[in-house]
Amino acid sequence: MADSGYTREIATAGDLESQVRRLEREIDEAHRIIADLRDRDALKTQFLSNISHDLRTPLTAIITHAEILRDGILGDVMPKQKESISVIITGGRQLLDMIAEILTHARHSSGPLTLVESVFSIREVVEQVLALNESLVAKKGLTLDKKLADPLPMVRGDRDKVIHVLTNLLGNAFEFTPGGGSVWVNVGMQPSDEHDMVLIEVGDTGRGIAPDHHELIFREFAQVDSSASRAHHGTGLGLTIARRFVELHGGRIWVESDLGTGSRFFFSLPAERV
Amino acid sequence: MSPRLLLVEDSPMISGALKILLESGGFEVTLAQTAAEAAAWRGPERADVMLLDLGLPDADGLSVIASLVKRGMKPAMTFAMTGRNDAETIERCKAAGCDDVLVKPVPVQQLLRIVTKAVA
Repeated sequence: MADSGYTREIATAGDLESQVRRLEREIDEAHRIIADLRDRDALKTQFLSNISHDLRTPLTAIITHAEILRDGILGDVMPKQKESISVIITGGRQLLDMIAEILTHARHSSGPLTLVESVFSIREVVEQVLALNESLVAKKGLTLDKKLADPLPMVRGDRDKVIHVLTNLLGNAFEFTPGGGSVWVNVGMQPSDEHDMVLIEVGDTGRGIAPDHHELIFREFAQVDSSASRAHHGTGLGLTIARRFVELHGGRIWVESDLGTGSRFFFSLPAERV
Repeated sequence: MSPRLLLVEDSPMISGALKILLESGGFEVTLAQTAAEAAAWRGPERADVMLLDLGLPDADGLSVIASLVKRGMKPAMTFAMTGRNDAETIERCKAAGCDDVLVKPVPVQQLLRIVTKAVA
């Protein structure tokens, strides 16, 4: 009986060894698959970057030629022709914006994202971005309000990226709010445990977003309506990029909304301590 | 005499449009499609304005400035033209000697105003 116990022990040790070898093989295989996926992801990012760059050149040519025609530099243009050319220019610029978004995403997916930090006035940034959108607001018949706490501390962060986030949120608000509606920007303080954070709200009285979709909209390439016939087109990257930029600052971005009640997007940024 | 403008742009589709525009604004336009062509600007005097694309097939567009400086041919005003307007690109252009950075495609009327003001 002692012999059979001994045999059993040897058999168990042998089983364990073969199990360890099998696991080692599986780990090697998993490493290989991970490396392969990383390579493919880098290739996809490089492709997106190249194609976005290559799309910009002909599009720049189309827009510039169309503007030359519209402005009568090559000869008189009839009002109806001018209208048609203006649509080419508007469409071209929309495409350029989308390409820029894909390029930004590709660039920031391919390597570690860094902030070009400075201390700047969030008040000036908000006023600058709002001023740039004045004509669009008037054209759509929206009202645009701002409420900025006084005093407001300076913000420490990457000014370009903060402008990008604010521009993106406002762009969405304008797009999803029908004429006669309101869009607003409020800036105040959000006390948090460790740092004081500045809280920026971009709100609108538009169609709103169902609570089920509050996370989805921040996901890469996600659209609430992903059908080909959807009314609103875009890359589905705007809010993904916005979230990445805000989180890189140590801030948070979220939405409070429901269908038919408008949307309020919030994001926080670190205030500069004095 | 018409102000002389050196247009450095590798895409004929874009340079064709810009040449029409700038000539309509009274500029004498010389086109260079590579950094080497731009660096070989023969003058006889330096250009009044240079519009400089950054992505050239043979070199970084900004290298053209250093080449022209070496020969005492740096244009009176240089504007970089790029698809990127981030702080890093702007800083790089300014450090290389550009007077300003324009984001492509620059609306044509705005471009005309900028170069006209530059030679005023």
